[in-house]
Amino acid sequence: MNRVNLRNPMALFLLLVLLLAGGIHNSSAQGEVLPEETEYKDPFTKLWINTYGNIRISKRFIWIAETHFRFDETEETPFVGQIGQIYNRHALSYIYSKYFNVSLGGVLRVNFNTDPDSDGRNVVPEYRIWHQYQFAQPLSSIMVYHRIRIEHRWSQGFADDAEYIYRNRWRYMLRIKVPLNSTKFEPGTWYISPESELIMQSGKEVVGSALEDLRLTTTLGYVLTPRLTIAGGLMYSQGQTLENAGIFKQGFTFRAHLYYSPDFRKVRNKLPAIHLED
Amino acid sequence: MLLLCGPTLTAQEAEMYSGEFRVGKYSGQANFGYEIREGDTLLQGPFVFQRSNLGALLESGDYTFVFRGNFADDYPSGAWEFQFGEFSTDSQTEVVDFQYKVNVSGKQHEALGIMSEGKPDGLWTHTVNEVRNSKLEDVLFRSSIRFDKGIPQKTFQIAFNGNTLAGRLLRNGLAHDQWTLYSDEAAGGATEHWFFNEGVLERLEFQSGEAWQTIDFSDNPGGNYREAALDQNFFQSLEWQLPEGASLQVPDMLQENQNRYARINEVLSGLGKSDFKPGFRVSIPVRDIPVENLELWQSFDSIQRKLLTKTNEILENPQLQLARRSDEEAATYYTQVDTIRKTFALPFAKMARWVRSGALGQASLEELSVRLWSTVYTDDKGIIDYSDFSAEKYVELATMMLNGLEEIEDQIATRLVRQREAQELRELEKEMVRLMGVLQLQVDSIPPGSPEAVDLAIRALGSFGEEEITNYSSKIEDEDKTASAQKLVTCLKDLNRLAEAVAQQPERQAEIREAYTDQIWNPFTATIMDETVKRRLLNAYTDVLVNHILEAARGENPCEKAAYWAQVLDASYERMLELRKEDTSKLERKLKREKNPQTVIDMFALNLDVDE
Repeated sequence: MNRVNLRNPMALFLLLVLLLAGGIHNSSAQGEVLPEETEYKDPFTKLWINTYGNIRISKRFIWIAETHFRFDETEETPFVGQIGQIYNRHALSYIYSKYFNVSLGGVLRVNFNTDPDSDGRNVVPEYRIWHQYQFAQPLSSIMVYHRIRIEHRWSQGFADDAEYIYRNRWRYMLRIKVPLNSTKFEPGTWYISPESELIMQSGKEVVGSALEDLRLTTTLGYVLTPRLTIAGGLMYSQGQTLENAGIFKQGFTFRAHLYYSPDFRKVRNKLPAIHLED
Repeated sequence: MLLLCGPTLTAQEAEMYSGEFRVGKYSGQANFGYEIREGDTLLQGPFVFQRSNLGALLESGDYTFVFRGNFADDYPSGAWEFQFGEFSTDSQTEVVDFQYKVNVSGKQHEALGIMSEGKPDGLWTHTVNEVRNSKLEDVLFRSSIRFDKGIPQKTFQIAFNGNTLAGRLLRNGLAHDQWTLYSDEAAGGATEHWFFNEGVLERLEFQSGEAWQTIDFSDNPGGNYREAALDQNFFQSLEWQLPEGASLQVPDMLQENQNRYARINEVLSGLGKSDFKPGFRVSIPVRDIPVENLELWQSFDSIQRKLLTKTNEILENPQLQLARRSDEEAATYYTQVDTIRKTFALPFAKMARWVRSGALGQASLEELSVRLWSTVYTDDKGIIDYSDFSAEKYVELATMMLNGLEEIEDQIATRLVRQREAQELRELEKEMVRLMGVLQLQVDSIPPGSPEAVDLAIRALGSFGEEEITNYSSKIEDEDKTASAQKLVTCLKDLNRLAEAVAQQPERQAEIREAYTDQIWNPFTATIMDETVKRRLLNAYTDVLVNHILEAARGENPCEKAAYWAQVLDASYERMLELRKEDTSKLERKLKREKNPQTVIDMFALNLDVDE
């Protein structure tokens, strides 16, 4: 089976999905009373400043190191009123080919209490184990990406006696990158990148609120060097609140991204393409 | 001198030796008897010494000899036979009576006669035969002389070169009576008559062309005589009394005969005690003419030798030979030297020869001088007073001529140098035009699409070359024209070299850029991107080094450093390709923000053999 998996990443991925799908409960609403109609909360405004590091550590492995700074609005200040979360994501990524890689790692997220009415703690940590399957495919000069990310998440509320709850997150993102001023991605290329990500969740505590978040983002990016890209854009998101599946939260988030991919190896494999299939 | 290469001779009487033997240049097999008497080895009894080598004969020709005779108390005595051969063969063999027979061709000198106490005694004959295919082809030389204990006497005959000399000698070996030279070719047979009277040469008659000339020596004043060998010295002492261009055969005949005897004497005196020579003698009139200052004549001799050698050298100088055909001045010098040779150097040589041969003792210097110069100045009607011609005067004259000749020699040298320079200048100018043509071609063939800096640099080099040529051609003849031309040729060569290097630059830089580009995989776009590696090296090379040179090419005097810059371009290109593979982290750090091209050159450690 391993041999099949290695040869066909899609098979590997499907297998994992099938195995894990057993964990999803077909749960129904309990406790909270669903409203007559879906209620949408007022959009919440946020600013995310995200760094994405892909550090090449060997011919086939990349160390993924991401740090995100997420700011929330306050009464007085939209978007950047206060720090909401600091988010550290790490993983080891195996490059199967230039168009497919798999990653496995952990997340330490630091959640800050942004509710002025809360009596709870100011800061609580949150832990995740995550794995990801990312496909890329060229389409003319456009690149299309499919990202499946599965997270196993242990989080807790700010209340002093809050206990960790366990949830699974099922994320699929479709993203395209369209170079604007050249036919391929190279230093100096401006590109526009629309993306949509559907984040589903499951777990004992998740009753009815399977749609955690739907994120619609568009960013404008600029390739500075083959190892450094910057991008910025706006995201609209909505999803069911955990408390009540009939109530949707919404948000607008300004996002600023820094992508870097250093390579500290002494002798680099000059050919990046991995010729397993050749 | 006796050299034995065999077993040591022991102190016993009447020993025999048989084996390898060597005398002078002859080595072969010998059989002979000897005795040891009072520590000396004396040859005694029969003696045979011979050599022949069949292998050598078949290979490339052989020389052979046979010496056969007797010794008595170390003196050759009794019958002797000598053979000297030089043979080659066509290698055709034949077996006759159980013997291999090989045909030979060559020459054999054979001498037969009797020796008495180391001296020829009785009739001696020498024959040189020419042999072809083992058959007698011709007799090249023959002489028969009768001796009495080493002194030649009675009649003798020598035949050589188609001539036969017949003459008579007194019992004491002095030439006597009429000696006649018969020639095979002459109509009447005889061509020379030498009349001796008890050794004194009284008259000489010889055929000169169709006519007969007679030289009478009998009226030479003086009564005293001394005896002397009849040899070349005697003939030279006669020379001043002979007309110019007189060609006599008798001296050659006697010389040839003398040579044959000498050859045998060399062998015999190498073996034991002997005195083997023809021994013809003459009586020379002795006149009381003092021979002045021999030292002066010696000095005259050495000066005239220098003079003659130098005239020969100058006249044979191939450069002058060439130059005189196109250059009037050189032709004049040539004529002057030729005149010095004919009118001074050759007569001086003749005078020196006369003095050496003793003619000065027989005639006064005045007589010799008159004789000498009359052959040079044929129209001299007694204008020149020869009475004051002394040895000093001859030394003075010869010195003057030598000095004059040396001056002419200097002038010729200067003239030849100037000629050579003119020739060199023509060559340089030809080269200049050729080089400018090449440079112009480089300008005309700048690859289209070359970067502007490259285009401008090459054009600038072309214009500079053109300008320099214009400057040169507008220069008035000056002393340094050759130097200027030389400099300009070097400059044009350097410009060409730099232009060539610059023209290659776009291609080279592209190659270097490609070498310094890595393709890397960008994990965020999942695409391949080109990445420049060792950017600092590339920048130092392109922006600092190459740019500086391209600008310098358009500078004020690109010639000054053109060769250096061309080499820097060549070497830095090679170096950049090497550096790509080397660990250059330190170099990259040092090159950070370096703007000085010379520092970059130093840091690149370029292998340059042209100094800046």
